[in-house]
Amino acid sequence: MTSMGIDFLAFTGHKELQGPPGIGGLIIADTVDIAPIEPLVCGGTGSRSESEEQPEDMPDKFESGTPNLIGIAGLRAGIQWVKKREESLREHQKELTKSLVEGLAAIPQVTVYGTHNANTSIAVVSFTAAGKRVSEIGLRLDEDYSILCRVGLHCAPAAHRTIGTFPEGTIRLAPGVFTSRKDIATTIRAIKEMVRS
Amino acid sequence: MTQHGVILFHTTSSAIRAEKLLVKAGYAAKLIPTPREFSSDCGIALRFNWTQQQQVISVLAEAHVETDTVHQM
Repeated sequence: MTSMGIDFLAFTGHKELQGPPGIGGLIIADTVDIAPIEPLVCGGTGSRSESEEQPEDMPDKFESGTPNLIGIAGLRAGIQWVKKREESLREHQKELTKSLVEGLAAIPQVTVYGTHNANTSIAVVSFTAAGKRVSEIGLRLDEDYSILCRVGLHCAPAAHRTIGTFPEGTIRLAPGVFTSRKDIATTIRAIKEMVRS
Repeated sequence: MTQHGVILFHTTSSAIRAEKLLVKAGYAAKLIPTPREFSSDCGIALRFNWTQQQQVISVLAEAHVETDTVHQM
């Protein structure tokens, strides 16, 4: 945290860490003065039961209510699984992202957004195809090729304004740890077929 | 080819509920990405057989599923 200059690190359990949805975390650096920060929710920490006041101790100050134990256990199992394979997972996703970006960028009708550099990006690829609605591509990927993606604005209208894709949005593909090279080849072939028709 | 209609919803949970109800009642209903010509919403819509428009709408109305707009595709 210190070497990367991070004060607060918020994360979600279901992205890359293989945890279930509904669990996440907030890591606060020891160097942060938490005294002026008011918790959003107070009470039910299970500590200092005699007091009407929210405890100031960490982490109780920000951990009101009943913890999501099922989510925490699931996230723990996910993190343990990922930690054992960390490097190979990253390499796998990097390789898939690279071939997906290259395959898509080689299709003349397709515009791939972002850096096109799998070394400096996460395994998420956003693109559009000239003359095709993103919703049409998404539906056909699902129905004709059994490939799931998310199309549109991804609940991030500001990001789409920045890359110039508002309000139509983009098609977003994300090679996961269980995606194979064959899946990527099928995806590229599918997009090729769709933009031709 | 089947003539499709599409129903838009304000919430994802209404869309999921609508699909569940209609499939259970034997209608060909499927959740699809919201066609961009109808909305730039963040979400999903329900596709159905346009010839069953009236029945589909009444199933959803009877179950008090809140819908937005209905369109022919």
